[in-house]
Amino acid sequence: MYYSSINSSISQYSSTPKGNQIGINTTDPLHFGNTPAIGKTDDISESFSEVLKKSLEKVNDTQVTADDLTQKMIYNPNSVEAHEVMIASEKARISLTFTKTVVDGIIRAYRDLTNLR
Amino acid sequence: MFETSHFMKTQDLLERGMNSSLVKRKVISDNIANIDVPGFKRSEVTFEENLKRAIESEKTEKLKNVPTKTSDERHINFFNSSNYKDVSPSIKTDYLSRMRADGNNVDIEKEITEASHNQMHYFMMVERLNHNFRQLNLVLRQQ
Amino acid sequence: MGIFSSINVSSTGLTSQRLRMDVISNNIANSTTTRNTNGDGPFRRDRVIMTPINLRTRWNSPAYPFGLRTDEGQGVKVMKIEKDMSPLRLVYDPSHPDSIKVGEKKGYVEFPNINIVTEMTDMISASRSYEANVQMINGSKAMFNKAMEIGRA
Repeated sequence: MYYSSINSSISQYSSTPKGNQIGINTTDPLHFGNTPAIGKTDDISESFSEVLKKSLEKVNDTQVTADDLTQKMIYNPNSVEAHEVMIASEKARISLTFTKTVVDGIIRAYRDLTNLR
Repeated sequence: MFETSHFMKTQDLLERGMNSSLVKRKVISDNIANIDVPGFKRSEVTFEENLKRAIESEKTEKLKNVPTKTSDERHINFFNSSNYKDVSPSIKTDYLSRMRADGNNVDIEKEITEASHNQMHYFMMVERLNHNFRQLNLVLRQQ
Repeated sequence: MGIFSSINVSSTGLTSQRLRMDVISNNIANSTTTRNTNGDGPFRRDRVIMTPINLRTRWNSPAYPFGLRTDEGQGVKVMKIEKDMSPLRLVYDPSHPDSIKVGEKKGYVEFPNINIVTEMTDMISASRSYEANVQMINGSKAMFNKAMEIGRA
């Protein structure tokens, strides 16, 4: 009753206990004890265009992470590990290559379909 | 990217293992740098045992197949498996090993052999990671 | 990067061991100096006091936040170089210019309290620690180079 009046939207669990999952009422991102839940990677979306858009956003996110780590490597070298940067850039490259391969396949399939004689 | 697949779980575990390996290396170099300081106690890193417990709990909790009937969301489930992503390397100070007369318990041979193990372990993890990425490359080239 | 921190820690070990080596060689060079620069007695043995940088927290309660735990040590540093106040070596030699003129120790010369054997064992220990730190740095560099190979065909 006291806590429900405070907005605790950052914590993934509510402050009233549910089973063994008890949330910590944090009002500031600096408050301790918040680990955001890992989002499910296979969401069920509404339409094909939504799926495409979400996937492209995820690919973009990997690229952005790789660039962020590279920038951090330059201005704050002690905060980032050597293999973190290499792995992030490799993941970005692979997701981009995979996207390009899939897109090429789709376009080829479309062309095959439209050029049916 | 494909985080729930078995292949990507291996990659994720490899990355965490490499992170923990670097933490271990830092702790070992700290022990070696402080080898002549009287009263200094060495420290060590525990990560692999906790990770093993977390990963094996995923298999064993499925075997204990007694389902719990929860009719309210506040009921507690039995047999929860712990998430391996929550495990992180923890550094502990070692007060229990034998020490020299000046109170320092760093054993240089032990530290050097642990450093060699650590280095070989790291190399092996990098090799596996690289190999997995090369396999992905192989698949993507078949157009 | 995080891997540099391991090299930094080992380099603090290198500097302190080298400093210790310098102090030891100074002791050996001055092992028969009967008059020091102040003029108030012979040269006394120097000793190096080392301490770890960033004394860590000794307790581990769940209420102590993870970010504040200074569990990772940052290496070693030399706190001070102090004189060893153990008793000096006395040699009976009334004709020596630095012999004591009055008191019960009349005729004795005070020589420094430096034992060559102790200094040599200290030197061996310092050079062994130096080598161990160098090995750690080489290993860290090798690990870094190996990480650079990720993604290379």
